[in-house]
Amino acid sequence: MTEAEPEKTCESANTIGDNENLTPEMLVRKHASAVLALCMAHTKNFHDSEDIMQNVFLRAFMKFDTLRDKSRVRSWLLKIARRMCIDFHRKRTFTKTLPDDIPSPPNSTDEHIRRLHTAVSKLPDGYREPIILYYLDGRKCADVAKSLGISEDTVRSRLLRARLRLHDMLLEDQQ
Amino acid sequence: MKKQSNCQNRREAIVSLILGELKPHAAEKLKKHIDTCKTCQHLYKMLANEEEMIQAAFKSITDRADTIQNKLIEQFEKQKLQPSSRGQAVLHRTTGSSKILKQITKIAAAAAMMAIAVLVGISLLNGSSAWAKVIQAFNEVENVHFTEKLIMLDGTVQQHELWLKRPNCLYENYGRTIFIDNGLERLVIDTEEKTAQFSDSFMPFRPLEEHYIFDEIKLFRGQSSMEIESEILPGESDDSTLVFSLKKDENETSDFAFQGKAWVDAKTMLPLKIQVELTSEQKDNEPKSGEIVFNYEPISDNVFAMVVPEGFTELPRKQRGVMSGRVLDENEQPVENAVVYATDRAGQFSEQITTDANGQFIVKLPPEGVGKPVWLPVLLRAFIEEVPDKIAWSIIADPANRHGPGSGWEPGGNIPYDIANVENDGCILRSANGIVLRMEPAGAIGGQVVDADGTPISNAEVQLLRCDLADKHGNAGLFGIDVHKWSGPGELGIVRTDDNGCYELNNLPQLWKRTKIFVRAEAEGFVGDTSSFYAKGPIEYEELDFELYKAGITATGTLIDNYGKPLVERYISARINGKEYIRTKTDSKGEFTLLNCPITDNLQIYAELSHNSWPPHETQRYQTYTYYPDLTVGIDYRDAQLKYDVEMVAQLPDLILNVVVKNTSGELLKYFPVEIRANAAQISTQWKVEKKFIRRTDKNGKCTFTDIPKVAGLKLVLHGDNRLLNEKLSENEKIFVEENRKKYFWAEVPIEIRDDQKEYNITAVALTFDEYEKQKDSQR
Repeated sequence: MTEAEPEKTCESANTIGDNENLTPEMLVRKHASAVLALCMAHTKNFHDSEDIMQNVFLRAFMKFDTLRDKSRVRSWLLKIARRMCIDFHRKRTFTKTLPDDIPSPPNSTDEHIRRLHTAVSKLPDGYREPIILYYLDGRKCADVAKSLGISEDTVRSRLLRARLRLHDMLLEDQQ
Repeated sequence: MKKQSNCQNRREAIVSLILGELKPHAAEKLKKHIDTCKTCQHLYKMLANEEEMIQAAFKSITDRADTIQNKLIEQFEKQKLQPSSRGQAVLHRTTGSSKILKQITKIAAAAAMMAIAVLVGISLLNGSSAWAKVIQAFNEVENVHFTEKLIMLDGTVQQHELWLKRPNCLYENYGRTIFIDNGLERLVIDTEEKTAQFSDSFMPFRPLEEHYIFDEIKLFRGQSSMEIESEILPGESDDSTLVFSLKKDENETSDFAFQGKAWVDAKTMLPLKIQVELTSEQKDNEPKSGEIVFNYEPISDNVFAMVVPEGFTELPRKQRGVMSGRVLDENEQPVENAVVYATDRAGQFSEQITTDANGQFIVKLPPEGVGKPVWLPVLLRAFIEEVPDKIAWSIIADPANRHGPGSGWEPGGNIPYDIANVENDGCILRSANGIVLRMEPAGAIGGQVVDADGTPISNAEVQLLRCDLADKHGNAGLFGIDVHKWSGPGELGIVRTDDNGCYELNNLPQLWKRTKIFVRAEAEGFVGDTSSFYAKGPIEYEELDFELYKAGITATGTLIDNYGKPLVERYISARINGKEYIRTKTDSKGEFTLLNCPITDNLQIYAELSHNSWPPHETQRYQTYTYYPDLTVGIDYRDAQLKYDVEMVAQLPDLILNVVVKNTSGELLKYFPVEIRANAAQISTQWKVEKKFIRRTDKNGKCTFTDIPKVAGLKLVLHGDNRLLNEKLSENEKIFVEENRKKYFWAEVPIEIRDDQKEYNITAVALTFDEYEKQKDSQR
């Protein structure tokens, strides 16, 4: 049962009812955070992620007709996002580190947040994607698995390892 | 000791407990353990505290995502983008820069899209050849005046007007904003704010041919999504005017439908009027109907007059950003007549300019808003053509990020970034002033280009292609730098060989350090060749010779398997001693043509079949890939024969292998791991996994492998230590595996393949360690 439930919610997020009524708003609302998360995982920078995310949705609209299986919108969007991030890196290989760009909410422990983002940006690529998607997109392994097109077990094991590494890095940082 | 290592293993379990990913009973068990174990308790507490912090941090991003989301939705709403091709004509104006997108005014309304869709969509349908002529005629038009009237949902009328006159005059009236460009100047009039502003013309950067009116076909190339039906209506048409009916139905990808008519001049085939009406359900901001009237009369220059209307405030002229600075020699003296080359990272911006008597130069950047930004970092090089061993150079980088980690930009570092006064917007350069370029010794690459007989080839083109960061073994790394414009002098850094076939690429920055540098030589009538060398440190002079083959052989053929099935979209290449020269893909019938292959009896045609060249995310193609062993076919070379037909037959992997594993006393070994192997890179890993080329024998000590290819070095491997990587085992199996570990020695059994035999029975005998030692001794 615990397995089946996240599966279901994921399904409903992926199949956008009838595609006849698919509006940009729906597309954006349903998938923006996942796309942003993926961009963040790649660019490690908020401003660039925002730009790329906009472009991803524009591109998605332009190419929407070419998508045959409309139930795969989400992974398709993420595919576009990943490509764009790669293109972005090709175009300008200068990477910004996260801390300068992340506006932190007032009164919160800014320092913690800064440290966390630095640590996340140091994670290897294969770990960064799942962990960011996990935290930014509903904290469900099944969703992440669907989004990334890898098995749920893989996501879980990567997530756990990534989380442990994060812990180690934060600990090191503290010391 | 043991306890600690167990707790080490529990780390992941504790994380999954915190993340709520642990199954209930396991969670209970672990919690009990945590209560008793101090190490784990400590870890659990720390992780739990962290978790709170992490979630809070990500929450701040989620909040931010929501604001962006709303902004984005607003943006889409504004432009009325719908998930269909309608968005495209709007989108191309943004030219890929979201910065510009943010500034877009409401100039693009949906009905314009409707009309453009009519013009474009039909040109792609084969059945409407008459309409294709209309498109063609329209794209060649000299003058066009285009008025567009849209009736909106609320009954308001929007009117847009465009005047285009080749070669470079443009007047665009989108209601609120008017753009006038006469090829020299540009005037932007804001009718609401009552302001006007002059700037340099956009035409040199975005010529009229690229105006969306003319350019739209490119946008839709390969995407005939608009299934518009058009027919000539004979009853309404006459000798002078043809009337077309236009209709687009709703389909599964688009709920947008319209119908209308187009009036076309029968003589010129130019559209005169297009009227379309929305037939699908009307949505907010979508026009009910639109009418476009075209006029092709010569346009008076008065239309493009640059006049600020009365009562309007003229804003100060919009200035373009510049890169300016000086070139100095080693003694800090200005260098006159040095040519300064400026190229940006994306390779889109490239300018050259000569310094004046004070060694000064000014390079103008494209105007803002034209959609051709200059991306940082920008490479500046200056040298005098007659002085090949000197160069002054520098790189303009984002001041905040000039040493970005893993930037991949620096081939070994030591790049002078000392440039003053850089203004930038992220990675887009706005201006850079006070640049100082100092002359320093330059590097060079030189050598000779000869043909296969050793005769020098004169007038061959040689250029630097790429420079890849390499590892210490000289293997090219991940980041490549496009350096084809780096060497000089000459157009695009191309130099030509002299009568002795010698060339020299001069004025190279000596920045190479641990890089792999690729140089390409090409000559008419010869097959181009790329050579590379590995630079361990700064290069002063590197010698690189080329031997080019004459081109001319055309190899055609088909690629099928031994069952006659054509192999589609596989890479075929012409190779000499393993080096690839020409490459192509087979078509849907498995046919291929390799043109201009090198003329030599060594020529081989190679089919790259063992590697799945589809990336995994192209799921369908990736998964339907069938493995075949690679195939190399020589040609039956005859002097003076230039055309060869090659029949390539790939062998479907269809061998069957029945394996029985015994020990020396004849006992059948159950659950014994066996593997099929061949020489390196012969069998693709994907195939090995799919067909389970590593498996255990069954309880009778037998197993059967199928779909084995006929490749060199085929052998059976007995994994004596009874363990396989990445194996999922049940608890009982694990016990069995552990019990039988390291009983037997690793053994390899070669498989002899005969041409006519498909199925093989092999009995493999596993030796224990003692037996192996004995056998080895007796052999000695």
